Amino acid sequence: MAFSLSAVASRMDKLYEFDREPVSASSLKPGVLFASVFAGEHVAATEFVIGAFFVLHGITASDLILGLLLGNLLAVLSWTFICAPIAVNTRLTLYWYLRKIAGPGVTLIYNMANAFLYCVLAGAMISVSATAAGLAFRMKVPGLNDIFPNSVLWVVVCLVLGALFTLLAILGFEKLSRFAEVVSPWIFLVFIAGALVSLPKLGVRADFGNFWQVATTKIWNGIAVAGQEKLGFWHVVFFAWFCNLAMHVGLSDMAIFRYAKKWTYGLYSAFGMYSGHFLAWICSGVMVAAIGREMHPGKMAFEALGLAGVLCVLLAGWTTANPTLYRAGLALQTITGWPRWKITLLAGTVTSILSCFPLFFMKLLDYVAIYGLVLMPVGAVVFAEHWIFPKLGIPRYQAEERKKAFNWKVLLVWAGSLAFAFALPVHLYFRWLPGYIFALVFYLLLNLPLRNRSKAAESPAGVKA
Amino acid sequence: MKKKLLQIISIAALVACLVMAGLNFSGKMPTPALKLWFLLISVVYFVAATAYVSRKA
Repeated sequence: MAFSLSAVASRMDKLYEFDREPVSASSLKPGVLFASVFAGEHVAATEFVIGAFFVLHGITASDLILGLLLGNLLAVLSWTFICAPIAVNTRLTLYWYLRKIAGPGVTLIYNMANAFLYCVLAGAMISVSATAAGLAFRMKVPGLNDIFPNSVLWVVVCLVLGALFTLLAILGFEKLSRFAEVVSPWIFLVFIAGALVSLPKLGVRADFGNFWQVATTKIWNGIAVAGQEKLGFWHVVFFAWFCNLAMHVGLSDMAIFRYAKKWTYGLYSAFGMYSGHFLAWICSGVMVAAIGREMHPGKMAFEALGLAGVLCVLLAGWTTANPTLYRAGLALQTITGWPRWKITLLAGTVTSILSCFPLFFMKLLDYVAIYGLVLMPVGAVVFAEHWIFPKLGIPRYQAEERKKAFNWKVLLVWAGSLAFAFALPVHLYFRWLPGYIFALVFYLLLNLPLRNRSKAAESPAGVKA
Repeated sequence: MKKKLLQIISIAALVACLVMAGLNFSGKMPTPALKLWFLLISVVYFVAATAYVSRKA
């Protein structure tokens, strides 16, 4: 076991070797790059689904707008005050920093969990694209509460698209990711244009004079469709906040902000939040209302903009799935040592099979909540170790110092926090915050006995090479 | 020069698509025409933008 873990750890390290050293001062990037990265990453196929679900869950117009304004602000502040400062301080990725704190064994578990979660998300994106591709065959999209496929045609379309996406990921992720840069601004445009042309169908006049009346009576009218839970202001706030929990509070975006000149660059995340998680969600809400509240992204876009709309949904699903498949493949590669094409093929096959089950697509809101919840405790551990340990005189980087593969305290906190969060008798959307606080406190309590022991104090701002 | 031209064409294509959507919203452009021209100008955008990004790289 120790030998295999050592081999796996060695492969993981090699995979991320390029990022091993802290980013040098000469490699830091200007702010405009962060603005474009965030704007590009947060307008995707998921926006077609999430914005539409807000309508189906009976959120009112005022709750939606005010909730998104506040929730996205909280997300931006989380990137700015939690993720960016640690990234700027250490100039490392989460992989290397977590390795120092928790050991290569825990990092491996984190990678595996992330890979699986990525595969499920990529599968949901294939399903979204399938709603567009299936229009050509008059395919009936599964219902809101369907868990299993509703037809052979749905399965065939999902598998064919999954195979195509997988093939593209194998053949050339890097080149294709460049094409995704081209697609992103156009996808954003399609959201805006699609909503604009859908408004007259809902009765909005050319002078916009009755927009609010239509918005409150025909789009976000506060009535949930049959079988869907009614959500309110605080659900919207928390959803917008935790939508990218793994990235900000979970610190995955240390990979981006390690190139920032200062921590305030975290504010550039607003370019992604307010274009994608505000405007695009509102636009997809308009489009779903225009087709009678049917959860069918392909039809939403087709009714609005014809074939261009269909193309948008296909490309949006692909550009979201492509890097996701790639990252899942990278994470799994370390376990098997297989060549990248082989492991991407395996990840793609699993993903394609998952895409046949409409559960992940139809329960995307809940899935996003669970995704963030699962990875959040790791962010709490790193935050505590980076900022609070030095103030309490607790020595840092115990796994690295003692050359341990597993920091058992990190594992205990991770498992304990998840158990605590899942046991909480509150709505799923509200569990991550108490879970995070629990993880912080629990990790600190486990390490308090080490206070002021042996080691010379480290500089609180620095990271040892 | 050619890179700059490709950038201008790309941006102009996006703006044109948005303008057409606005015209359709205000009733000045019929929906079938919008859908056709939106698709055609989107193709122009993809060609120009892809060429621009390739040159930039």
